[in-house]
Amino acid sequence: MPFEVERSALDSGVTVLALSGTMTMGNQLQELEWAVEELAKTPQNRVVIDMAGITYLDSSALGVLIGCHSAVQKTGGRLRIAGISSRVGAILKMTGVDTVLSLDPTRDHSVTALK
Amino acid sequence: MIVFSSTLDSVVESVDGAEESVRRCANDAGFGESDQFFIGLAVREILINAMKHGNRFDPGKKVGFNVSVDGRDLVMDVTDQGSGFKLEAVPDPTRPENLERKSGRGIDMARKIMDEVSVTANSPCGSHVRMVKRLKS
Repeated sequence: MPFEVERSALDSGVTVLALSGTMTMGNQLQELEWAVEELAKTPQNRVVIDMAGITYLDSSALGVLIGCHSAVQKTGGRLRIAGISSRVGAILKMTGVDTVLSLDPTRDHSVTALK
Repeated sequence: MIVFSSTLDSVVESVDGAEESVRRCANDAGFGESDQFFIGLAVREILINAMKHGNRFDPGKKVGFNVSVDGRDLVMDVTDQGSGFKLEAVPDPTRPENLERKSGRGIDMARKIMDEVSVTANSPCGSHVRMVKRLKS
């Protein structure tokens, strides 16, 4: 399943990147990190990555999420991850990445946390 | 008994088919859907490691992938033609100082998913990773 990113800028100044498909090496993952790196340099550096549409990810995708987290942290922005499935959550927990990222059950929870 | 055998080019695109095949083998061996999912993930990680860190995506080098059934064990063998590595030399990615590293998680994920993971030297060169997932009664 192709990996896709849909971007929305909310009135609150928060940017939501809604992901769908599978996040695996070679599946244009890097575009997500580049998008977040660009946002991190702007006033729109409060970012939600909504992963409700992600059914599968591998360790390359975890690396990209860590990269997004680091890029936003460097510029004083904030990043929250929303809507992970139980399987994706299990992968994050298995690797300890769940302790690095800020996770919320839904996009609305993340947006509220960034207001 | 070998139930699947393939020689893969060292390109990421070849991993999807291999993962699909091992999931099918796991299904045929009686593993449930959740186990099939995680077995597929572990195999993906080890195949990518073999292509990336072993063969360095050299188009002249291949990755061998066999799946066999031994009693209640699903046994998966991955070989590469790289310079080899030692399992104990791989840093633990879950240690606090490594948690924010962008790579280095694949083998650890496989070890957590599988019942056994071993690494030996492959002949004449490279590494041989054997993974075993045991069917619980």
